[in-house]
Amino acid sequence: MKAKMKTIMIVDDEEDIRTTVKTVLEKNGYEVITAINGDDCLMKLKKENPDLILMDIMMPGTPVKEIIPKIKQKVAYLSVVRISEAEKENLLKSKNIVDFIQKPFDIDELVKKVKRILAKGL
Amino acid sequence: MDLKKEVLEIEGEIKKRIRNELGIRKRKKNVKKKAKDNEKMLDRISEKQTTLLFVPGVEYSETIIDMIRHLNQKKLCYVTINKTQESLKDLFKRHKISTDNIFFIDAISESIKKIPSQTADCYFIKSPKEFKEMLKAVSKFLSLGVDYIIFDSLSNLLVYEKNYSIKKLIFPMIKQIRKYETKAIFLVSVKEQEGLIRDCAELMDHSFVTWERAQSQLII
Repeated sequence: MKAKMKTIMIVDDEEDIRTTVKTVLEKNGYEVITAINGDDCLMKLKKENPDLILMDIMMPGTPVKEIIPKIKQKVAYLSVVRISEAEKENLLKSKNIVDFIQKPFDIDELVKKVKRILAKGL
Repeated sequence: MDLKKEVLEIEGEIKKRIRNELGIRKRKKNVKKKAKDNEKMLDRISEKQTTLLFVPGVEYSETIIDMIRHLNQKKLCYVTINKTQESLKDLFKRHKISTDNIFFIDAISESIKKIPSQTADCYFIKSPKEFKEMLKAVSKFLSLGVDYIIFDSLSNLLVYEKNYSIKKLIFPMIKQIRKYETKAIFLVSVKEQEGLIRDCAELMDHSFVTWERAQSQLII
């Protein structure tokens, strides 16, 4: 029996990132949906149930720290801003935050991380 | 193994070690040279009131560290829109730079964690898009008599706003700064490709590098 395709949601206000990551993840056999910010993500989550959300930490609209408590799915942060190790550890304490990926990222590394997170079933 | 083969292997190993050692020395020399260059540049910057400082992405952190070390005896107001105050303090601490004379305006932390609106050494702004609030905070520090405003960085503002909107922040800010003795450095990160271009330029027989000329004209 064919395994169900895993779904990933990319939440980023930068179109370039959404398009590039979507293309690469689709090539790697994932179903990908996108959202342009946290509010759009919450709206789409009413209909969709992704296995993992890749979310930019700084976006226009409602701050991400207010979006996260409303989400039950696993989230990996994508971040262009630099934060301290202690801040990173604190963020990862939230039950559904599974990783923190610093931008600019190597796209192959990102795919590896996604595969690892989904394989672990964290 | 015959003797000749063994000698060749040892010779190869020695050559490899020498190459490594020379590589390390060259890198160390480059770091020292860069720090010296930054010193010279910072001396020139201190002669002017407002400076737009273009920094290649690959040298960004090093330049910030050299700059803050150079200005460490001065009272600084550091506006950050690409790192949290905590990460900056960590960075300076790692390089044994005191932050006692630095006040921060942090437009990042508020978006990612719970924090008060201000602490003894930091004023937090909701987001990098809150230009009015940022301007108000800068004005406050100007009136307190800081020696330098470090704005890190204009290029990051472009992530959040369009060019014309940024002018709405920078024009009044420069106007405010000019009312005081305070000096200001506005950082601009030049894309990562700059490093690649420089590396490739070293491999070419001839290349035009306008960067040096541009650099000499950047101090306004």
